[in-house]
Amino acid sequence: MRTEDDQAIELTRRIGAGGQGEVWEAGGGRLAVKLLHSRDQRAAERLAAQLRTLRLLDLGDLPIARPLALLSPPHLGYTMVMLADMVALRQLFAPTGRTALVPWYTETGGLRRRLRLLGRTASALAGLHGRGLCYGDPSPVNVMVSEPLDHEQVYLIDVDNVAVMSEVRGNAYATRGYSAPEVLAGRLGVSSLSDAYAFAVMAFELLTVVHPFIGDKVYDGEPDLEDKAFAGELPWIEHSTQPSNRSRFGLARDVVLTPGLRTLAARAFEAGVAEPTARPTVAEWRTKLYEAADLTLACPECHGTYFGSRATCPWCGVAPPPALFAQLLTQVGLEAGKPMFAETRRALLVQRQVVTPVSARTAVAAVDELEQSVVDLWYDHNDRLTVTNRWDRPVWLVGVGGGPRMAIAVGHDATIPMFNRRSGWELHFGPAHEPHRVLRFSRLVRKDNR
Amino acid sequence: MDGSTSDQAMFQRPRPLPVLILADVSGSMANDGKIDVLNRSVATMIRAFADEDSLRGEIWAGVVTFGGSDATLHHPLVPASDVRWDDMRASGRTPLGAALDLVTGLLVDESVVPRRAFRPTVVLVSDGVPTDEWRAALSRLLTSDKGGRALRLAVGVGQDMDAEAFDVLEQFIANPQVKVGRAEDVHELPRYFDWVTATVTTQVRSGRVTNDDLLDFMN
Ligand SMILES: Nc1ncnc2c1ncn2[C@@H]1O[C@H](COP(=O)(O)OP(=O)(O)O)[C@@H](O)[C@H]1O
Ligand SMILES: [Mg+2]
Ligand SMILES: [Zn+2]
Repeated sequence: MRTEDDQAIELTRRIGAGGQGEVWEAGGGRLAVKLLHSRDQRAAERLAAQLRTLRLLDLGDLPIARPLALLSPPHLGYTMVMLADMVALRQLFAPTGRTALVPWYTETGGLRRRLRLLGRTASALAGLHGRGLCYGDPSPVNVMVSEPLDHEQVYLIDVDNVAVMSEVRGNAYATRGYSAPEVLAGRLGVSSLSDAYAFAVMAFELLTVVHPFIGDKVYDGEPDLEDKAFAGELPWIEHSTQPSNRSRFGLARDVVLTPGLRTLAARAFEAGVAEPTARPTVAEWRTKLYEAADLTLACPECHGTYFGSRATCPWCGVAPPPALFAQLLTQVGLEAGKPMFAETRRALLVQRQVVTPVSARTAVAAVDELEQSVVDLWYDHNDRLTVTNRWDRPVWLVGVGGGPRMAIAVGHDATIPMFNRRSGWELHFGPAHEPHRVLRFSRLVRKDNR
Repeated sequence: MDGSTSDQAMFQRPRPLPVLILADVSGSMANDGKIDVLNRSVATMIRAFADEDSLRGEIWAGVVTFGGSDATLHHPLVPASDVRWDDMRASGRTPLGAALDLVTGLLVDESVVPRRAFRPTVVLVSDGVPTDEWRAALSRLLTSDKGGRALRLAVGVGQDMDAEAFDVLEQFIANPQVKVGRAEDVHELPRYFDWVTATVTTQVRSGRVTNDDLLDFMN
């Protein structure tokens, strides 16, 4: 078999097969090849034209397995980059067999990793939407994620569904449980709004380990009732006023969802069922997911991660580790030589003896697909905070109440003491005379809220 | 069956999608290596079912054989990943009626096919005319709730399939949209089972299979 630009392709191993085609390893393990089945000649030509368009689109650095080359006839398909050490996000959706839920949840990365992987998925989808494209079939089997737990890469595969314009199409191959009601019913084609719906289902399900529409009566009932639930004809399991489809399954919702994430889910699954424009966008999800991840702590006992607002670890009951609370502010200007701050409702937690990376998202409100660290924070046993500058510009540490001011040059670090006495040290991401973001540190004090 | 944990949090299990194979193991199946090819084909299919990793559905497989003087539950209906394949052996007569009654009994038993299961698929494989009274048994299957709604597929194997034998398979399918599979040469049998595999896995992914989908696989 050859590509259109006349490269020979040798298929070595079949990696996957599905309704739409097969995926093979090729090119000595560097390439993956998707071979597509098509119903007839006309469908084949349409698909080839769509792939050709897709190959030409500028997708920038988006983590999407785009077609590198098309196969030449009689074959139908394309080559793409081989994703090594990645598994389908589906692996993190539910344990198999008789595994216990909580240990499995932790062993597969826990709450924080799930929030961050979802944040990256939302980010990739937002990148497509920003280019006027929609993905078409966001589902746990179409998102690939790093297999090693200390990596958080995300890649979208199955790009044959990517559409520039939406058109109404059959739903036979849409992944069951992740189609927007209007697409399922054939009323509308796929769109960024249907992507947003599918993403909302994925996000809720990955975090809580229960599908938002599979209440107990749906779970125990016949498949027809599930069809109705997926069509949006039953209330979702956490409906604010209609409790008829509650679920006994999954993790406690308030343990794995911040109030902000719960609000997004309610918008998607109440008003957003019938009214696509009422759904939160994937960009809103990205923001809330990352912000939620910033507020997690890792339990020293069970290694589970959880929101720092809890009095104890929800997974094992042990007291939380010491941590700093870093409130995010914006220095909007100077008045009579004194900085003026605008407060944000964002913060991050800096756990003792754990590296806390701060990305450009926090430091300069920039969208950074890779979430690369611009500074690392390290809070040690002696109550000192070390700031390592990994950025391309200096940052400043400023003492309590505008006290001593210390620049940290590119590639350098600095340490501030005394967190046991006073709080208020600040990390400034820009020079004093320009507006910039600031992290203000204080000790996270535990109220024994019974 | 729910997955539960020490602290009571439970997860939902995928909905079962039952697939019952109804295999002719009469003496004639020993000719031309038919039974060997059938064993390999069914074992391969069940392995493919086990590899299918869907959140919404889990394929369960069971095998009913008919040969000798009666029908036997060769493999009970369990998740495909739990099946430890045991080869079938061919001997004796073709008691299809007994097999159909056994299948009807399994399908109506909620401890075998839970209420929440997807529509079952029943695949009949035979190489000749039944030797017992099968018509009444077939009508009991077709008038039972789950048996009537099941996706029924059938394939005739080998040179001995005559018009009468094909007619039996057609009556079993009882749906003009679905054609009887033909594997006159036994080596065409694996291809038929590949088709069954694709049909079933499509159902478990999308939760439904339309006639259109079936046509898609009939090439
Ligand atoms: N670029 C890739 N690198 C590695 N594995 C891949 C790649 N693309 C797809 N796969 C594997 O092949 C399977 C099927 O791919 P997909 O494109 O989703 O096909 P389908 O259209 O059948 O859903 C995936 O689950 C994944 O395991
Ligand atoms: Mg796919
Ligand atoms: Zn713990």
